[in-house]
Amino acid sequence: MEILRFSGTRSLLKPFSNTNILMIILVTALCCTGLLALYSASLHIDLPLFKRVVGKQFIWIMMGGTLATIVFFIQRKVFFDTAYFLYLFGIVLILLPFILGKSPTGTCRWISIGTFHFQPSEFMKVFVILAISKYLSSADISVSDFRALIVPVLFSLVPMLIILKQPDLGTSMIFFILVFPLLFWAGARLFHIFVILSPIISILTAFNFYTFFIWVVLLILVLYLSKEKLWVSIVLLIFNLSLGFATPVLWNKLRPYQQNRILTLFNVNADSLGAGYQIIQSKIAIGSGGLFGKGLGQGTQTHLKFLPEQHSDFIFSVIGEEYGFAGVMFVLILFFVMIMVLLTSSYRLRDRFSSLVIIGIGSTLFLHVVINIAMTIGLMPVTGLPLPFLSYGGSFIITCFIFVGLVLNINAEKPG
Amino acid sequence: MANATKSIRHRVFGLTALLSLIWVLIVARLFSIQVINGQKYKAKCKRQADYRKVIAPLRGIIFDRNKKPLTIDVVQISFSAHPNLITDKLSLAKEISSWLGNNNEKYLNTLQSDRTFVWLERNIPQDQIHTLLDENKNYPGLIIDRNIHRQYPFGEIGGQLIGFTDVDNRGISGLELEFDPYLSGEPGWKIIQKDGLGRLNNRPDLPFKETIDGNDVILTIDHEYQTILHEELNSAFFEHNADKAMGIIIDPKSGEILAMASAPLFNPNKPFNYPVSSQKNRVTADIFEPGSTFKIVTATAALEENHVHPEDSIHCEKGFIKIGKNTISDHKKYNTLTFSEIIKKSSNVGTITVAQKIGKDYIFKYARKYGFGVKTGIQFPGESNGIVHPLKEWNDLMLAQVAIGHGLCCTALQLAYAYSAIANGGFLLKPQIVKSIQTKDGIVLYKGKPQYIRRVASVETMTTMRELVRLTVQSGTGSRADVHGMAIAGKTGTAQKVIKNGYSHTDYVATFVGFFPVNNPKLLCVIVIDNPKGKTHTGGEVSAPVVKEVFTRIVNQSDEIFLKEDNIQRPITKYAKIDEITTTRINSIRTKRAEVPNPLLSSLQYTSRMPNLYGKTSSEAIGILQRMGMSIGIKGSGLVVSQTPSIGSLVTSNTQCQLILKPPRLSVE
Repeated sequence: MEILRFSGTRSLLKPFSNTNILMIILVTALCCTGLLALYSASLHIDLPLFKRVVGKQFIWIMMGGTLATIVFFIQRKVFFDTAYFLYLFGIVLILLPFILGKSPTGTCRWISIGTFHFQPSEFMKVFVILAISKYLSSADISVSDFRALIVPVLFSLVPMLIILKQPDLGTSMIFFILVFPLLFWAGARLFHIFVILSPIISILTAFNFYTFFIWVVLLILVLYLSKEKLWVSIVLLIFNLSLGFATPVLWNKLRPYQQNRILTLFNVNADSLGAGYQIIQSKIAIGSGGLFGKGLGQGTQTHLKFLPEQHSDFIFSVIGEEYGFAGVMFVLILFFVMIMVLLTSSYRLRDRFSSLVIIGIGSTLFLHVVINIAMTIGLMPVTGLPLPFLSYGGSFIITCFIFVGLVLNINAEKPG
Repeated sequence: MANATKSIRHRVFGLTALLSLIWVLIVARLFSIQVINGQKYKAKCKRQADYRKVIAPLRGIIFDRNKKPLTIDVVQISFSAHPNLITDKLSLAKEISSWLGNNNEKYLNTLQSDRTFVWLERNIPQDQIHTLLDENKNYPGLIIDRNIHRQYPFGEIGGQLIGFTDVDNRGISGLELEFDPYLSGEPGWKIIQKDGLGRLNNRPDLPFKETIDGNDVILTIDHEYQTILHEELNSAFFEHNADKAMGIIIDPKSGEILAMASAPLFNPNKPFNYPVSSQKNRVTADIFEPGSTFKIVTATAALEENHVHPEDSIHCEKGFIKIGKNTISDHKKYNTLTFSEIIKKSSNVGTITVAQKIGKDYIFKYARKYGFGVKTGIQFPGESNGIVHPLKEWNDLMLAQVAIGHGLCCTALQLAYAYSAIANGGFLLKPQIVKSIQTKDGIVLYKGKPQYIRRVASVETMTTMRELVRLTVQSGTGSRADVHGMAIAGKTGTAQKVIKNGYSHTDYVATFVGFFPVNNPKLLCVIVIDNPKGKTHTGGEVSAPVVKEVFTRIVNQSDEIFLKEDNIQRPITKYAKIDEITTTRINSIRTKRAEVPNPLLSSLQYTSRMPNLYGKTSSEAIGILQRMGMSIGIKGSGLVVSQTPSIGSLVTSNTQCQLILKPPRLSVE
């Protein structure tokens, strides 16, 4: 089997469609912005440049670029053929930390090889996208059939539960949400997606009478408008109602330590200083940046260490403090354009697998951007998701560049 | 196929709309935080990075009239550092050792620690630090803390008078409270940059405000007189096993207070080791029935209003007088006495007879003229009014009682100033306790001067009054206050104490008011002994000897003012020379004291016991020991597992305490 493309005489320039050129420009701009912010955050650290966070990040980006180039040159068919195998390999990888033992902080997120540590859950994002895309693009399934949705949901549910146990709420959330845009893009009925989501919403809203009431009214409305068979509607309604009523009862039957275990799983109280402290400091950092920011190396929130996790999860706050509203708008526009480029290219692609992979990548990047930024400005609780191309972190940067490699690879072929 | 394309378009449109909506939401939120509320967050950002360090000012010193300090500010300086903020550790270590005179290697080793915070030296007395140290100069990463606490070098002497301060060095009793606005000064501050990890960085470009030190208060009190009064009062207090005692010495011509003492004792260095009742200055706060010392009111009224002449004979009813159902008796049966003999022998019946002749209106008027029942206006917190009932409540019995000093109350202070009117020829003066208040630079803010309230009676009347009270000491009830060669005048008072039903026949208040020399009074002293329980209980037997001791010791101390002018022969007493005094009396204290108190010596006196520090964290232990003013050496980290000195041993603020800490054993699941 031929693995690499362009083994023949095809021009090297041909694959660079407009999409790919745009993509390369956007990624370069984002990486430079990230490096600038990291440079500022490590300005007063008394270490040689390449031992600082900014130097390390530069090395990661170089490695990522190399990997993206390799991915670019691999035949797309190889990804399709090995998708399920890669998925299984990924499951083994995320299970490995449980076997190898806990890290000193009591989590099972990392695999260490010598001094080199990596987070397998990041790479799993690629494998899940490939596996679900492959399944949904198989010729022998009809997506409008509810039964066809069970396998993709399981594909996302399995890694989600494993990663939730690591515990890493933010990443596991990504796995769960990821499946819905893929199903939607593949042509699944909105009603079916709603049916899959409804039990979760029932459980979450059950703790407050009013939210549950509103949810039930909404449920009845949707069931009525969907014009489904009457027995389906009734079964769904009864199922959701009983789930909603049972949840508080079951919760109260749990012993406090059991409740605590579940709460710990969902990361509540994980931050000893109070997650509120991080959000407050992040908001102060961003807010005090004003319209044009304080300038490079002038952010007191950053340099006086009021801002927590400033290299990784709160890098956006550093940009907000030092470059103000103008700086964050620049970053937001870059991300918006990038996601729009991915969406357009996915729309143009005739190959179902390619189109779905692009949508999966776009959704993953989108979710990271929204959840991370919403966290830094206090619209969402602290979940610990990094910002693509900007946050410091080897595994995540590498994963992002694998995405870039895949996008370039897929768009290198002429649509149609 | 067309349908499929349409459906795809719908999906693209849906996703684009969702994406745009979320982006608009995020941008709106960012606009709100950064542009609309930007200033608010900028202020917050600045506020949390600025740490306002308050710098305590020096409290003003309270001096006696001869500029002897009665209070001390003990200034201690502590040095600590954030080693990772210091770039040139060697030169800083050298600089620190130049201030403290120690080897710089010790500081260099500490500074090279990889901890974020280290103590270099703690609570070093300021006078041990070389003057090279400029506290206002900036050394990045080095923190210099100054703490000030008040000490009273003379302890119990004048304890209630001076009062004491709280932990924040604010006066809460006595003169410390009264003159707190002058003494306290104004604290300064300095903005110090604080980072998110709580580290402080002292930067010179940040704003600061200089401290303004408190002003010095110079009292009219003479510390030598205060010491004498203190010793004599306390020895009488213990000798007679009294409930309480108070004494005051004033200059009757200027109204300056020279000494003021109360018993039981109180030491302002350890205020909370004493009951609250011992903290107050009884001279101004406690009231008592003056007894026979009050007879001067009747006598002055009688003489001034020409009702009697000193040589007039007055029938004394054989020692009993009936007023309604009540009978008032004399301590001896007299038939007929002249008016001067009535005062000299302190005859109750005679005084009442004269008072009845004058009438209650005049007795009341003269009681008021002498200042009874009204605050004297002394600059001291918590002065009592005393009690003189309104005239409309006076009946015949009340008149008789008031005439002999019962049925009304006064303070020792009021009594002293009433007698000073006799001594100075008729003027009621306002008590003066402060000579001047000065800034540290010597600018005078306040200057005390004699303040005259009113003339009580004519010079002639007062001359007669002086002769009468001189006779009392010469040959009457006050003879125990007489010293050959010193013209002491005075009046005794023995009041029965008020109990549940009437007056007690066992509990008395023994009072004596004396002044001398009679023709040109320089000193006036009031001694009040409450409930003496020995063989004797009268003012003449208990209090008069105290006044005598006080006066003779003062004369021995400073002869020139008394001897030149009045040509009085120097009295021969058992205190021939101050240095040779060796007495066997209870609580006798040496008179001669160190001229300049040594703060280290005085702090050595105040010992306490070592607390139990086992199991405490280092910051808890440091907090406890720092409050005791001890210096601390710490080894290891974690919880205290060993301490020297051991629990309960006597320690002073100079004791070096050594603690050994070990990390606590963690219970691992």
